Amino acid sequence: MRVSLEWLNEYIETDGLDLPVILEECGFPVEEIIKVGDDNVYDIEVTANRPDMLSMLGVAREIRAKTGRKLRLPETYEFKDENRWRDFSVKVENFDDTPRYIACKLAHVPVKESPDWLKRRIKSYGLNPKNVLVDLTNYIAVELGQPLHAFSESLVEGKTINVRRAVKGEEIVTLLGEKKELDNSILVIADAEKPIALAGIIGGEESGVKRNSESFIIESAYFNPILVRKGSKKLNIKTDASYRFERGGYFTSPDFALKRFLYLLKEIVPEVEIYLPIDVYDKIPEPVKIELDRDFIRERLGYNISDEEIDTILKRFDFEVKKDSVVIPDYRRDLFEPIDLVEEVGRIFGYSNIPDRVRVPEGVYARNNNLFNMVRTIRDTLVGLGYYENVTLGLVSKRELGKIYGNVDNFVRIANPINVNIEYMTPTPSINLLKVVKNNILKSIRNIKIFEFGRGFAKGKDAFIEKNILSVMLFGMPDEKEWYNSPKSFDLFDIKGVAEYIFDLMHVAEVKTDRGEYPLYMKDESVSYKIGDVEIAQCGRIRKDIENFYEIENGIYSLDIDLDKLLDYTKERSYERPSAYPSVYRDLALVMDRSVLFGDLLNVIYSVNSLPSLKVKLFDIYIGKQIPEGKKSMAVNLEFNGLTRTLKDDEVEVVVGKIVESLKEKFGAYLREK
Amino acid sequence: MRDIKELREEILTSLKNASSSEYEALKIKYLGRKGVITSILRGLKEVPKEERKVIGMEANKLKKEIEEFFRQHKVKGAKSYSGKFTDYTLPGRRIFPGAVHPVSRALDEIIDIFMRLGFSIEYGPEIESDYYNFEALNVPEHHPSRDMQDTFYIAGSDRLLRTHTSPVQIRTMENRKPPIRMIAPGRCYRKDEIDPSHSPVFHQVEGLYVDENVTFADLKGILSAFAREFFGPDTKTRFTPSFFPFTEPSSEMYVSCVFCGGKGCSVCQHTGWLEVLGCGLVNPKVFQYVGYNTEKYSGFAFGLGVERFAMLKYGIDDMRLLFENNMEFLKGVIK
Repeated sequence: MRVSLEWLNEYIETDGLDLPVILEECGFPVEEIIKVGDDNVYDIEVTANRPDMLSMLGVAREIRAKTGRKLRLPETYEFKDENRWRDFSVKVENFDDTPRYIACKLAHVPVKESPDWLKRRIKSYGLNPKNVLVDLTNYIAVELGQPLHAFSESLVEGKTINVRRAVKGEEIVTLLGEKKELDNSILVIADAEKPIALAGIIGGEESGVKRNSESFIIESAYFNPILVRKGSKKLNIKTDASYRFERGGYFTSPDFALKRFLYLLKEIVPEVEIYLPIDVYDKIPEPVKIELDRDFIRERLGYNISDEEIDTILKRFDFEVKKDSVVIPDYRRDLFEPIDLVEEVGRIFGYSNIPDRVRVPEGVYARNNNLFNMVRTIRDTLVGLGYYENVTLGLVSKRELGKIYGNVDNFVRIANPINVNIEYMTPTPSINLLKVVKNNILKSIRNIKIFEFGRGFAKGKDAFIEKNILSVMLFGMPDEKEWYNSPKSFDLFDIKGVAEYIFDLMHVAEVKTDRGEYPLYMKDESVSYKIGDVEIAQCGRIRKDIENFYEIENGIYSLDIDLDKLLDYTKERSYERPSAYPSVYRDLALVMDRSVLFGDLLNVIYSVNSLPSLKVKLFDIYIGKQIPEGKKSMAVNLEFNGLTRTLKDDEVEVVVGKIVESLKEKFGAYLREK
Repeated sequence: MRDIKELREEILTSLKNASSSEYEALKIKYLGRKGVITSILRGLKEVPKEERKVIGMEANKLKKEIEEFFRQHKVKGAKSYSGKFTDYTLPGRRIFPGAVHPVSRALDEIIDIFMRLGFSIEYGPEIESDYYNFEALNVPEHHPSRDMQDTFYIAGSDRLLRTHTSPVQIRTMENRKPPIRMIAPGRCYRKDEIDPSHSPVFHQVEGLYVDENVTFADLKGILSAFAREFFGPDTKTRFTPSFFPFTEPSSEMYVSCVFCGGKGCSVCQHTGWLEVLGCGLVNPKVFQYVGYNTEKYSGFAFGLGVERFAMLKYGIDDMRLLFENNMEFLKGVIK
């Protein structure tokens, strides 16, 4: 709302006031001060609850409440012996849609330029002056917040105005020349035949004030704000009038505004002939009355403001203050409840005058949040290991999802995206990390170890699926070349290492490795981690065609961990006395077909073991000249422990023998000769 | 074979003239594994038999003399010398740390401060219903206050992307009785174009405190304490009236400019103040939605943008940097 200081001074003396500070302390910060000649124009931010502040008078009232200075109300026209407007009718279809509608006929209105003072003020609001009639309707909108609508009487067929819902199939060409199709949700001003204006939004094409000295009708009305807002949205027309109407009118406004309009019109154009207006309404609403509980105000503000001080503040708003109630004038459309009075008193008293209180009350303490704790532990550990935490938008394009998953039907689409690049909710942070990898490669960074805690979204059967996911991505080499190292490019076992590290860190046991089938990964380098049948993580090498699609070099590895599941399987820590008895170690170098999986081998070893404790470590894999073509040698170290006793050599030999036998049986494995 | 006597003279002279800091090196030079005396004794087997005995005796005598010297002139920590050359300026063999994202770092600080003040962490879904995101927060459909938050809607559904983490307030109050002190950190979405100070995706921390007799003085006290903890002990706060449908009275909190200390600079547009968060007493209508007794309970709520806090704290002037994840940027600089 643009507020001209020169104009404002008509209603309240602002000399000596630091207006920007006062307005801000009332809750209406000045965003900009514009110099217009000798005048200062303040552009103030008005919150949605205060349509009254979209008017000069409203701003003056607010300053009066804050400062106690005297308010001068604008002068209005008094009807005396005007002619009646015969043979004309105004009908309001529904008083919920249109609580009040006033039409007033004016004759002998010359279409001439406005006087300088009027033009200046219209300009201060940012509008171009046109002619007296148009400028004055605009003036009233700014001065009092009530939009008026003026149109030629000759435009109205059948000597009648109907304020009604449009009928499906009706259409109108607006003042801006756009044709709009209407339906029952749109409130219109119609004559006997057709809609001539969209109520509270904009006039019809013909309604512009053009011809000289003919008869005009001034409309001053109060329309249902929801209806105006819906209509404005549906027809996609936003005007100064619709902006004001959708924030709410009030019952006495049309009458007050009309009388003010006529007063100024008569001043500027004394020859104008005014008819008695036709004023249509159902009943005069009861004024809002709010219970005044001064203790409640003190309690909520946390400060002991005296009764007198409270009453003084409320009276400065022109509220009618009684012993235990306050009557609110109807231009304040935001006050209904006792809490509303707390705010009014607080604002004017000044929030700065309320002391601070810091207390940690009884019965309140910060509870533990396991997910938060887990995320922070993993995050800090990864950072300690040289990983960079990322935050991406978590939104992706249809093109990307189509490329990776083939089909996008399972994914969550935004109906009204800003652009197609961020139209879908991502199923995993990994997708956006790919782009981060690309951007860092472009900056010549080639040791990329990044991760993000984000969410993954998909459509579920009955509801949307929203999972907490940790994505980790690797590209290039783990470290830069230093004097002490010779880094090797990342491969599948680096990303597996990250996953298994996190499982250990979070104390998750019995995670099994399985072949994965995740679309992001190459089929033969895709790994799934499961506990029982529940998958808790996937990792693998990004498909080459996906890397090519993003125009990134090949060789990216990624990992997704389902954090909710990880948390489910995180075990409470418990501790045991370590075995007091020595372990017995045996090394076995086993030759078998290359296609044998270590995991399978391991399962057999554990299943055959009958001793209290066995730990198996794979310490070498060999393929080469010394073993037959198509075979590999895997060397394992077996650590047996009796836990409660010392193991005897021969019982270990028996078990080792059984293990070797079973491996031979299952995989054709045999001991490698020295 | 050198004359042992000559050698003895030479060694005793050099020991006499040596400063104590040189002892360690000299001890190694003469008595070390590859020292002069050691090598004489070791070389004895190549010496003709007749000389061997004499030289051996002389050498051993000299060895004892030198040992005696070092016994008298205590060598401190002599054993810590390995005797090999070490370039101690070589960089250490190490792991280079990664980096916590600045948004996460700011969030950590915010969360830690509120946890010290007794606020628990609560999470909620990002895909929300209109009820939790708007209606139960007293933002009716078709009310102009909806324009304050331009919303993304989910296609083929009545769901939306939460525009703030305030829905978590409602979800928490539905499940728990007062007293409640909670914060809800998380991602939010608004239909804003990406520019230096806006992003369609951003992080918010919503806070809520409900109990008997919670007042505006509590709101001011807690949030001012938070501001001092986050921005520094000299930080001043100012509260001005504002409007949010879910709070009443509503307020904006300003802090004294973290760059100029309140003197006025380009960041604070020469006002000395920065607007950092919205807050207010919980509107009783919100309590009605969750079935709280509005006579008995009152509370305050607030919401802050984590990106803005991170930018102010770490001197970042473009929000887009936060979402680019350039590793050089994430590393941070020491100023």
